[in-house]
Amino acid sequence: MFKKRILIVDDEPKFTQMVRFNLEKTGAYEVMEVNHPKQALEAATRFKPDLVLLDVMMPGMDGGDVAAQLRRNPGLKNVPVMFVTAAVAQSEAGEHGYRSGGDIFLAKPITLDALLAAIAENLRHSPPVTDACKGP
Amino acid sequence: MRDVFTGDPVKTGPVSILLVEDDAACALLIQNLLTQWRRDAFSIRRADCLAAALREVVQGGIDLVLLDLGLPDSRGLDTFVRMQAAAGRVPIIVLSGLDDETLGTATVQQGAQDYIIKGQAPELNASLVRAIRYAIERSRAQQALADEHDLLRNILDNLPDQIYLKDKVGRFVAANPATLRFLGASAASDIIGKSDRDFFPSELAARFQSEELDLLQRDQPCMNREAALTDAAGQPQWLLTTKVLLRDHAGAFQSLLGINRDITDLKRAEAYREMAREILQMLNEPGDLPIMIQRVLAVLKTRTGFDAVGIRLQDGEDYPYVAQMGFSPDFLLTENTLIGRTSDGGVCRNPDGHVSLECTCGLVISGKTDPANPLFTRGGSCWTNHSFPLLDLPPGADPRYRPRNTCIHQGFASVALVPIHVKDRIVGLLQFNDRRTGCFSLDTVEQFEGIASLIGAALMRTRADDQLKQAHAELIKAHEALAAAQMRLIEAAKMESVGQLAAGVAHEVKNPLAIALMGLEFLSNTVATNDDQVATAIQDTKDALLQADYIVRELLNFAAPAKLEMKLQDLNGVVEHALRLARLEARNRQIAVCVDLGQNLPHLPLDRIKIEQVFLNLCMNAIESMPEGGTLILKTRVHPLETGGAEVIADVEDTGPGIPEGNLQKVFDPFFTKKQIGKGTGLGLSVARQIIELHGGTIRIGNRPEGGTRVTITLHTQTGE
Repeated sequence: MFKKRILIVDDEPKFTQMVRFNLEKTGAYEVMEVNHPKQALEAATRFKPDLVLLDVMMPGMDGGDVAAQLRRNPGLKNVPVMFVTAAVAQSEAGEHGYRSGGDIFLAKPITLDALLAAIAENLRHSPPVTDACKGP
Repeated sequence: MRDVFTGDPVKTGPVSILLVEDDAACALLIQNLLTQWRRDAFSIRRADCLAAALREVVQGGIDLVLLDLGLPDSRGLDTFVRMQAAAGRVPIIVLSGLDDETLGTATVQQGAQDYIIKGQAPELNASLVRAIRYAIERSRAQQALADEHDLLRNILDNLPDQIYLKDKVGRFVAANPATLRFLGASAASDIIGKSDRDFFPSELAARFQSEELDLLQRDQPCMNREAALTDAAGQPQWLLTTKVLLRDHAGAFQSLLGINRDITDLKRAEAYREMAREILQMLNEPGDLPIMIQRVLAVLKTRTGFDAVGIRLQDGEDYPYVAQMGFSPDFLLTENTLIGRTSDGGVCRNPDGHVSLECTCGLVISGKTDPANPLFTRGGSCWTNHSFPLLDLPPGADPRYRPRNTCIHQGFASVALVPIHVKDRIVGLLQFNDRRTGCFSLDTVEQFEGIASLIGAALMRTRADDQLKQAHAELIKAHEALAAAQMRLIEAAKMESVGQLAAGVAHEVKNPLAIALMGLEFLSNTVATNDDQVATAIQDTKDALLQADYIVRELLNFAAPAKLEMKLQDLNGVVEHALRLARLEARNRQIAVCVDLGQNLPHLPLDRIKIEQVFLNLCMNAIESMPEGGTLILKTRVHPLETGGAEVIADVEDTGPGIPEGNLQKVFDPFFTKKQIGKGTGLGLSVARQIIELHGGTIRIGNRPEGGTRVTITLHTQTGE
């Protein structure tokens, strides 16, 4: 069975590292960390993630712009993006995050259980990456 | 010119003599005698019979008649009698023959000045001239005496002072008409022989008697003594009395002369002036107007002594009594209002739109009095000393609108109604009623008008004071509102900066928290878990991280701009929902829950989630304040408002130890907590207040008298716009 690929973009290297440790520990995921938002597109193009975890407030470029870049790329436009942010209150985000215009928001800090559940949920609903890569 | 005999000045020329003598020779002789004595001294006319003489006398201009008794048409004493009747006060000297001396004497007894026996010329000459002189002198003296007597009588009859004479034991001997009127006698015979005891109360009579004894026995003067008494109509009167002794030439007692002057009007005027002074002083003292009016009324009642006194003042469109003394309850029941009513209870109005005010009070207050009518003064007052004839006024002649005549029916004969003006507007009246007749005079009523103007001035001053006070109070209120607004502004600014700070801090804190949590999760999955202590350490650390996150979230909630989603809701439903969440905690802590929710609460515009948050927060606070157990009490009730709408009041109570008084003011401050450090953020009540105030409601906290705390929330059916 192939491991699912998770790209995590966050300007806080310690957070991306801790998330990678946890996800890799499950044995189900292969994780790539990106700590500079401007490197996100290139990394995604090469890594071909099944799901992107994206911080919102980052220096130089915010998470929204990164997501827009990814969606403009035909090979990446169907990859689900989950925003993980400190700027949203948990009460608004709820246990499984909240959706806004098709995006999913998760509030920091987040428990591992909640993170894994949200990732699993979003992977189940997303179309297979291979199909998306074929293009029209 | 001088009198021919005395040399005194006289008005006119010669003495005019009518000589009545039928004997021509005798007449000539007498004429010659007189003209020889002094040519211009006499003007003599002659009549030769009584009839001619009487005609002359009646025409007048005669100073003296020389009358022969034996005339062709009359003889003897009869001649004299008839002449005297015609001549009146003109002196008559009778001429008689030698043989007729008895007749001459008889005429003198009847009033002739003298008689002269006609004889030889020298004797006649001397006696005639002397007789004429004496006759005229005597006549003049008698005339002067009579005139003097008439004058004296006239003076005594017309003097308003009472003048009387008494004997040694105090019995009236004579009295002028003023005395008779005062004593209620119709003729002098009604009082002659009587004493003061027959007319005055025994105490006063004894005083008069003692004064008279002092005068008689010790010659103590009795000058200008005042005496207060009551007249026949029951009105108070004052007399100024002077008594002196009259003695004859030899110094023997003749009679006691008394003079009483009625000084009632003077005394009353003086008393009313004093009353006006007292009232003015009273009105100038600082104080509450209603109390002042009551005091003024008490002075009016006491000083005038009238049966009933009242003050009416404007209240809306009516003029009820603001103070009164002496009117009966049933009188006040009907007379307190002056407004004319229609049969269905509506207010009667004049064509000019003003309310129609009834009866005489209404007439005076409306200012429609007619100064040409003696019932009214130029100052617009109405007064009468005999009210009863007013009942007989035909409707067309009655100036009043719907006369009620209750005053008259209650027996008040004297009524005076005096308008109270503020500037040129009538704002009320002074009313004086008495059952006695004759209580007032124009002077009295004008004095009352003076007092009414003092009251009017005081009212004006008080109104100005009130307006000033009101303006001052409004200024203070505005100032307080401004200060409160400033405080809110400062608080809002503080909250805003706290909010901004919180948002910034939250972001900075949440990232490390996220790292720590993720790290901990990794460790917990990596480190061998068969060590209990490791597991506990990991769990405690995780709890601590989540607690920190909770605090940060609360801070963000507090700082987040509040937006309410209002819907009409049943508050009881919201409270019950919040309570469902709190019940579990209560059960765990052995706390009883007592709920008393009011029936039929009106629905309120509420943000259900936020209000639920408030009640949940209050319930949790209450539960946490009772670590030893107790009862959580929730109550709701509705309270209708006079202004329309209603308020719904909710109480959340606990039976814990309560809050120290010093902390009650602080519990709504952000970050105030009575929980131990680390057990609460302190934001709960502050957020609760924010939410309730956003709903236009209020939240108060206090200690219950029976122990514990009570939080009261008041919400309105209409939110304050």
